[in-house]
Amino acid sequence: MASEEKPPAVLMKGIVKQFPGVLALDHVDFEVKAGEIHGLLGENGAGKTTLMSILYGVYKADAGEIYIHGRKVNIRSPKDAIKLGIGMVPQHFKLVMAHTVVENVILGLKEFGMVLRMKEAEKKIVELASTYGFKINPKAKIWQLSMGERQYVELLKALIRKANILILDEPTTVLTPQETRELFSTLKRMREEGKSIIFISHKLEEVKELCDRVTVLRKGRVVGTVDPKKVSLADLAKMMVGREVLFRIKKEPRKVVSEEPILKVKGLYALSDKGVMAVKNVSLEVYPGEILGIAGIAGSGQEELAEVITGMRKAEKGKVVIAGVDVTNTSPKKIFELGVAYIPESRIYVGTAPNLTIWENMIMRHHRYPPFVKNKIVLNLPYIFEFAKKRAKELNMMYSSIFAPARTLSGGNLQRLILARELAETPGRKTRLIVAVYPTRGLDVGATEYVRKVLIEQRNRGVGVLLISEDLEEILMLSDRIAVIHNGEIMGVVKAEEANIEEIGLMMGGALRKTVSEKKAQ
Amino acid sequence: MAIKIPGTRYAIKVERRLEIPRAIPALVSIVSAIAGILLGGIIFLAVGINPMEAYARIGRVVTDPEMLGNAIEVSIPIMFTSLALILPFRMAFYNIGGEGQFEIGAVVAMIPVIWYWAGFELPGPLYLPLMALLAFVAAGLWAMVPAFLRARWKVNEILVTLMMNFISLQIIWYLVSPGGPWNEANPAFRERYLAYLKEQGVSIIPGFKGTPVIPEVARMPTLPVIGINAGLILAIIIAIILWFLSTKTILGYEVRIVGESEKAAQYAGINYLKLVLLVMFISGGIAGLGGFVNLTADLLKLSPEIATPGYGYTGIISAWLSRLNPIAALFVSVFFGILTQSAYVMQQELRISHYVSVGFEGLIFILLVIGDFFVHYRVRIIKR
Repeated sequence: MASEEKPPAVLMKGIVKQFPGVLALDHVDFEVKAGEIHGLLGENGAGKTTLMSILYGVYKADAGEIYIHGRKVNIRSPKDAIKLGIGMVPQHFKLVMAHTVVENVILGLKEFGMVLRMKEAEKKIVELASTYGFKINPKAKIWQLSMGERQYVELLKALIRKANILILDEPTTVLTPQETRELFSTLKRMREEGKSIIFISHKLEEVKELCDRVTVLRKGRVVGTVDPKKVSLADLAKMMVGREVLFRIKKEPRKVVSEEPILKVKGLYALSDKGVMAVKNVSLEVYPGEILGIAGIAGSGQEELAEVITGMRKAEKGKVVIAGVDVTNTSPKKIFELGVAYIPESRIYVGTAPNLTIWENMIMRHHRYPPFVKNKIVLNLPYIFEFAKKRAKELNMMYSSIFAPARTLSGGNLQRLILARELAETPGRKTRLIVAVYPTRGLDVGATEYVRKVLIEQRNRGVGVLLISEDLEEILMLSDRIAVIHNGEIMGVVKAEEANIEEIGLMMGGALRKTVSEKKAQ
Repeated sequence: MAIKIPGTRYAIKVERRLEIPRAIPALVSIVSAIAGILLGGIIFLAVGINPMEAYARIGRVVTDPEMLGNAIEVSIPIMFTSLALILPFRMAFYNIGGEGQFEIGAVVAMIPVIWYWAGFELPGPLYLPLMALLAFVAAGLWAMVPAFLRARWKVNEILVTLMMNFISLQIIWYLVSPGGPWNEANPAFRERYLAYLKEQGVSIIPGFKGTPVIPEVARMPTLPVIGINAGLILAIIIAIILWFLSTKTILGYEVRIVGESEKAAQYAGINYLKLVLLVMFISGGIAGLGGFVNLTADLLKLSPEIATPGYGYTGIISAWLSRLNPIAALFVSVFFGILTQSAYVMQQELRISHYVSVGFEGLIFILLVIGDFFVHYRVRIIKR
C-alpha cells in the first residue's frame, strides 16, 4: 500500500536560511501531499513567506533539499519553479493596471505568437475560469476590477502556466467575506482537480475552515503539522504564538459620559491623491467613551476620511467639529492641541521619521510645548532623554538605545512608540479622541493584543475612538457601533451587538444600504 | 549583491550598513582625499611633470605658516557659502543659489561705499556693521523667493535658485559696466575719487568695469598675530550658532523632520511655508555675509570678477562633504583653500597651465564623491 501512494507534491527537508543577523529558517521540514490544501500558519516574521520564496526560487536556501513529486530539484529562479509547475499568487498583486486581463495573463508567454493571437488567448482564459467556477471579463482593464477579481487574474496567470502546485500568500486580507467564500470554493474545486495548494495565513478561522492539514511555523521553526479539524482554535493559536492568547477582550458596557459627540462629521467630501472624490457625503458622530468602527475594504475612502478629520487633507465640502470646535481645514497642529491622538496608516514616513532617533520620534508633535521646550525655542534635552528612556522602559520596547534610529525597531515596537506618544498627556492637553487607522495591520499577535487593550482602556476612561480597520473580526470585537464604508460612502451604521457579519459583508461590497438618510439611497 | 572573483573560492559582497559608525565619514573623506591626490599624479605625468614635485608644493603650503595663512584666507568665502547650505540641505531643500546670494550680499553691502564716494559720509565705525547687516538682510530676502515658490506652488527650488544666480551676476554687470551707475568713472564720484587716487599716486580714473575701491574706513580689519582677515572670526561664530540651532532648538528639530519626510512633518504640525522661509532667510543671509567679507577683505571693489572663483558652487561640495556638520564645514573649507593655494603655487613654480591644476582639484572632488559610497555601504570578501 505504501508503495502505491503518490509521492508528496512538495517535500522540503532541513531548509536553513540565514539573513544578516537573523536565522529566518532553522532546519524546516515541510510536506504537501498531492491534492491537498495545506495551510501555512504563523505570525509575521515566523518565516512563512521566506519558506515559500525559497520554494518559488526567489531566495536560495543555505542548506536543505527540495523534492517535487518525489524528484530532487534545484530551484534557482522563479523560472525554474514555473517549469516545475509551481505557481504563486503574491500578497501584493503584480499586475499592470492599465492593461486588460488577457494582456496581464499572457504577459511573457510564448505560445500565442509574436503577433499575439488575442482571440485565442481570450477563449482560453474564459475556459480556464469556467473550469474552476468563476467568471471574468478578459477584456476588462485591471483598474476596473475589484481586489477579489484581481486575485483571480493572478490565479489565472499561474493556471495558464500549468501550475499544479499553487502558493497563495495571505489571499484573504483584501477580500470581503463573500469574496473569501467564493475564493474558497474555487480553491476546493482546484483540489478536486488534483492540484496542491499552499495557503499562507495568520487567520485561524480560515485555516480551520479550508485546509486539510496545517503546518505551524514559529520563529523560523516548525512547531508541528496538524489536522485543523481535530484541534481547537485556541490550540492552533497557542502553537502559533507559543502561549495562551486572549481571544475576546473583556469590554465593560459603555458608560454614558456625555450626549455631546466629541467628533461630528457632516456632509464631508474629500479628494484622493489622484484627484478622485474619495469621501462622498460622509456624516457620522463619535461620542465620548465609545468606539466607532469603520468597516470597509482597504481603499474605500476611510484613509482619506481619517486624514480630513486630523487635518492632513483638505475637505472639499462639509464640516468637521471636534469638541465643539469647527476644525474644518484648519491644521494638524490645531487638531492635535484639541486632544486628538492620531495613529496614521503609515507607521513610517508619516507616524515616524525612520532615520531619526527614537527620542526624536518620541517627542514628535509634542516638541513645541512645555515641558519639552524651554522659552519657546530651546529643546529641554535632559528632560526629553529622561522621558524617552522612561517611556521605552514602560513599553517594554526592544531597543538598543534612545539614540538609535527608529527604523531599527520592529513594527510592533514602532506602533507602541506611536501609541505612547499620541496618548501622552501634558498639562495643556488631555486625550479626547483617538483616530486609529489600521492600528494592528502587520503586527504580531502580542503587539495586536496590546494595541487593542490600549484602545479599550482609553474608551473606558471616556475617550472617543474612531477605529478604521480592514479586519472585520477586530471591528466586531472592539466597536460599540459599526459604520460600513463602500466607495467613499457610508452604507449604514449598526450597533455592534446587533451586527450581522453577512449584512456587513454585503454593505462592504456595496450590495446593501441600511440608512436612508439621503435622496440617493435606493 | 555578490561578485565572484574568477578562479577563486571568494566573492566580493557589498552590503548596506545598518548603522553608520561615527568615525566612518571622517575616515572615508580622508582616505579618498589621499587617493585623489595620488591618482592626480597621473595628470601631472601626462603633462610631463614629476608628481613628487607637485606633491612637494602641497607639502609646502601646509607647512609654511605664511602660505597656510593664505590658504585659510582663500577658504573664508567657502566657509560662508558652505555654512549657508547646512540648514536648507538638512531639510532637503536644495539651495544651489549660494553663488547668487553671495553676490547680492556684496552688491547691497556696497551701497554705503557708493554713498561715500558720492559725498555722503557716515561715522567711521558704522560702516562695517551696517554693510554686514545690509548684506545679510538683502541676500536673505533674495533667497526667500525660491522658498516661497516651492512652498506655495511646488516650483522646483533647484531650477529657481540656479537661474537666480544668472540674474544676480547680470545685476552686477549692469551696475559696474562702463556707463553704469556704479562704474568708477561715474561723474558723481569724480571729485572725491580722483583726490583719493592722487594720494595713491594715480592721476586718472581708468574707467574699468568695476566700482571705485572701498575706502580704508570700510575695509575688513586683519587679525593680529595670524594676519588673517576678521571674516574668519565671523565664520567661526556662525558655525557655532548653526551648531546650536541644529542640535538644541525646535528649529533644528523641525528641519530634521522635514528633511526626513514632508508627510511626517505635516503630521507633526510643522508649517512648511513658515519654516522654509525662515531657513532660507538665514541661509541666504549667511551666503550674503560671505559676499560682504569677500568684498571688504579681498576684492576691495565690486566687479564681475566676484563670480570667477565660483565660491557658491564650491560651497555645495564642501557642505556636502562635511555631512552638513557646521564645525566640519570649516575644516573642509580649509582643505579646499589648501588645494586652491597649492594649485596656485604649482602654476607659478612648475609653469603648468591653470587648467591642469583645476583638473587636479576636480579629480579630488570626484574621488571624495565616490568615497561617499563607502560611508553607506561596506565591502567584504566572503568565501563562496
